[in-house]
Amino acid sequence: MGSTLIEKIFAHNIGAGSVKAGDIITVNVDRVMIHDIFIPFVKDKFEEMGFTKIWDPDRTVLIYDHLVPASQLDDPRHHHIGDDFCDKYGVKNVHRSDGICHQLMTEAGYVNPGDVAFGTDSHTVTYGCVGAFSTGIGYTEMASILGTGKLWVRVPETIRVNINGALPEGVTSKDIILTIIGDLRADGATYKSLEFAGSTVDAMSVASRMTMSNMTVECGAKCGLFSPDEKTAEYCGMEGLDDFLLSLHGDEDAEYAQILNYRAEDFVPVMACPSQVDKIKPVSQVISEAAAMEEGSIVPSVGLISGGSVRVDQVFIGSCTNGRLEDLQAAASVLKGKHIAPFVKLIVTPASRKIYREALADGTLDTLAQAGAMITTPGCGLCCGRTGGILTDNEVVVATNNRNFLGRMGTSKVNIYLASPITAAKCAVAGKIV
Amino acid sequence: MGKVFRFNKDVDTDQIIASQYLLYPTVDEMKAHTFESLDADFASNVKPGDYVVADSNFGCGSSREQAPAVLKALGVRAVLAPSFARIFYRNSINIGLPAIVCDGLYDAVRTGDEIDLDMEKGIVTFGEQTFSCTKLPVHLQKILDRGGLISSLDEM
Repeated sequence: MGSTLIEKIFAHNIGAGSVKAGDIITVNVDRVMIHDIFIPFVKDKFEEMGFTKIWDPDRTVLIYDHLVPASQLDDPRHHHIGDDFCDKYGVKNVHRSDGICHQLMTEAGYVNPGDVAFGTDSHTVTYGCVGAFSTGIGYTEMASILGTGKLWVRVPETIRVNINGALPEGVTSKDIILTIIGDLRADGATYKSLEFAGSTVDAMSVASRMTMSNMTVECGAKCGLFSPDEKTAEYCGMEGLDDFLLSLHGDEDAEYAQILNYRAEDFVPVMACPSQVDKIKPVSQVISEAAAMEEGSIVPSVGLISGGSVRVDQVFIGSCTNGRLEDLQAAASVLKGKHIAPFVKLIVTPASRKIYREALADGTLDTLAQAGAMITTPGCGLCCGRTGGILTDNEVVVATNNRNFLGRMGTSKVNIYLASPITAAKCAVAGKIV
Repeated sequence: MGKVFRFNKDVDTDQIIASQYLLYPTVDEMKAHTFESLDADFASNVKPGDYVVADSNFGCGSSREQAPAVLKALGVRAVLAPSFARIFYRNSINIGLPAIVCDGLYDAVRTGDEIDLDMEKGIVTFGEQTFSCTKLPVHLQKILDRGGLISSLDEM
């Protein structure tokens, strides 16, 4: 009997010949990430537990991203507590304005293929894009890892997702993962590992894979894994992959809880409609449904029907899901030589300072700015409802991030549609969903 | 016996405690805003010993430990649902809030009904009806019995 990708990562981590789904094991933690929202709580719990030193300060990373730049009076307190914590316990890996935690963890080389990492944020699953196990935990468990360097985990069952073929023009990995979430539903992969494979996945950039790993938590998954390959090695700045890393793929004879097979040619641009992340519809269906509604009416969980579609008040391109260079370039290719609709606010937030500079250097930011975009500092920005761009009742935002929960970007009557950067940019130009 | 507060499927952690309250320095300051978008009176109506009963995938979304923490701070004795999102589940056990997998209960009860939970036997009683709960794995039950992860570490 073969092994799944996650079984191989965990067996290697604990130095066992093999582990099987259902086993409860104690892993050795390679890296932890704490962000600014939860650092005060981690510190309190760490000290309440009686620890006086961090097991390995060099394996600890603190990133300020949700509250950067500070926008409310309570925010700076978190940064002061974080700075004091790092001084006291010798943590040197601190990023105060370099970008979103999940972008930086692989971009800055903290997480590599085969690693086991934990973070105080549910989107910690993102590092599966390089073939690492990573998942979100609470602040009490984070405090216990800081003290011990270990954590118990249950080896998850695996859902294998095979995707083969070439994607149609204008369809991205965001459309793929949204479609999969719609098929599995919001709890369809709870406690499980998602393992992606196939020629479509092989042809993807690491950035595109990151978009998919990032959103696996939206169907409940514990992790979303890709096998490391030459692109991964290049992205991670490695000379090549050793025998262990080359072995990191699910075996044909491994035991899978479920196997999903997709043809890349079948994917179309889709959106997650207000206000569930698994309420997935093709963009064409959103438009045809709106066209059948009364022009000028305000429809709950849809928005204002205008011009035969749904009027768009704001577009957000950014986040750890879709704030990378290829995302900004895709938006720029749609917006080049055009201007956004006069009533639309377009907010573009690069995921990191590195991406910001690359997009500045290659002219992408200039194209976006000429088209009417507001370019903001790297960070979480509007995704977590902060640092500008809050919306009000009945407004519609088309956003490239990962959650459209009620109240996430303003009032609980804001309608949030999740889509790819290409779809988002098209909507910004049209001023309606197109 | 405790009163039931019933919630639907896929209740996310933003709905349990919204982001804008997460920066309050303590859980006690946050708890008045529990379930605010779903039931603005929940925090004032719930009494110690009451139960939250929900449909599947309770606690999906963010990693915020404040979600189970505010429920515990309000005195909720246990959360019962057919399934939980994994981070919420771990967080609950770690802070000593029983998150109990229980099929059928959600369909049988309404908000305001009185139920009783026998944790040792893993049985919920509602009038004449009983519902069996899935037992926790031994190591998790130990953490819960000791009142959470922190008190467990003390004993280890």
